[in-house]
Amino acid sequence: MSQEYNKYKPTDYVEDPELPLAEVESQLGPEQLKTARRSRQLDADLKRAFAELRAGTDRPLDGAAFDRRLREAIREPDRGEVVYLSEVRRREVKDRLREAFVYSEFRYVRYGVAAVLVAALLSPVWMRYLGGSAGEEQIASGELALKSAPVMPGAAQSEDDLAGDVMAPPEYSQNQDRRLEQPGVDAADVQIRILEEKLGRARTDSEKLTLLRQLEELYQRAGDAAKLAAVRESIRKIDR
Amino acid sequence: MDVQEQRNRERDLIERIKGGDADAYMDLVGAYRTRLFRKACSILNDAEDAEDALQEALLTAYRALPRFRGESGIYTWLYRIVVNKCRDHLRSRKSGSEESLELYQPLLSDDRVAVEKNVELSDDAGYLIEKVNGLERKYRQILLYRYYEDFSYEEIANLLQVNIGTVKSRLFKARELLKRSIVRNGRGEDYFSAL
Repeated sequence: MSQEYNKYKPTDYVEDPELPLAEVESQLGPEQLKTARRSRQLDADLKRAFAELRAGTDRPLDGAAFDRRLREAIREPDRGEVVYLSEVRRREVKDRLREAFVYSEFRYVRYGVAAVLVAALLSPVWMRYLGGSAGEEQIASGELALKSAPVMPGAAQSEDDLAGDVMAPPEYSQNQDRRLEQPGVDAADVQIRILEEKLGRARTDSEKLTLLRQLEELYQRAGDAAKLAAVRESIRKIDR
Repeated sequence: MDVQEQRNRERDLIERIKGGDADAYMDLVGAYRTRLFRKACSILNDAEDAEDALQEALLTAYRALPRFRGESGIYTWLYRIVVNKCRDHLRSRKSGSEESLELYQPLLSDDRVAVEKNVELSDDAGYLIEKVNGLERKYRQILLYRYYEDFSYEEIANLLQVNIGTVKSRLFKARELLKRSIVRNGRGEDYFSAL
């Protein structure tokens, strides 16, 4: 008798078909033995029958693809049910659209309506694109004019000042932008006006001097003799 | 690999997963994927839905794993999550379409085998499964756990919240009832004539 036998009572061998019956046959009565044998036969037959059923009903699963998707899902941050719910919603919307546009009797009418709607939605974007590219050219030329304006050597702040963003308050920048947007206004005129306004607010002599020299250059280019003379006079006074 | 070795291996994998090793999780669930997918298919009767439900269940399990205390085996724990997720899917089908609920009604009872018409079974297998379907629910369920889902005694004990001795004696009783059904209302003593 093996050690295994000592762990179990004879009735265990009757009930459990996994235990080897041969070792305890002599310990069991004829009725117990018959019951144990029939139970084992049924156990074996059931295993066979259900294995057959599994083989017939199991659906194929692409394990590699399944694992890849699961791995990706694991890497995603935990967003709880949100991902699942949004996926469900997305599917529902897709199904409804498919139902309406693909299977409907009036699908061609709906295609037409959808095309008109898409066109109506896209036309402002298209118009804006067309108009926008021309506007971009205008602004680009304005910027070029501002950048090409002469700057006195040694006037470290002049570029920033001309851009109008560093020293000037916000409303000033806005005014400047509005002026630049007005059609027919010369970029040089705008620069002159900006510099004149700045000159009006300038407090130190060096600040005034820098602005006056820039204005001198612009008046000279504009051929405004009266203003040029006035600016030179002012420069002379400060230099003294 | 015996049960103890398997337990140790799983414990080791779980520790690695808790330490952030996602590959260990793939190793852990890879061994059970086919069985879990079969279960999901048997509830949802649709391979695509079953795959989605299984994927969601395994993701839920991964996130919940730090809370797994190891009181039950990992497989029965995963199995419960899969069953719950499949029930969620059934509920969403129910709210979506009454017709689909009707279609899956026979499977909702969960432990009666619905053999599809296109599945070819031998006469003996078909006969035995039909007899199992005729048993009282308690016995039918335990036979399906054991023979269809291939659960160990321990796993069944865990699922039914009973001890292993109860599992063995209930299985024995189920086989006895099956035997009686075969002898009295079926093929008679001939079925066991060789014994």
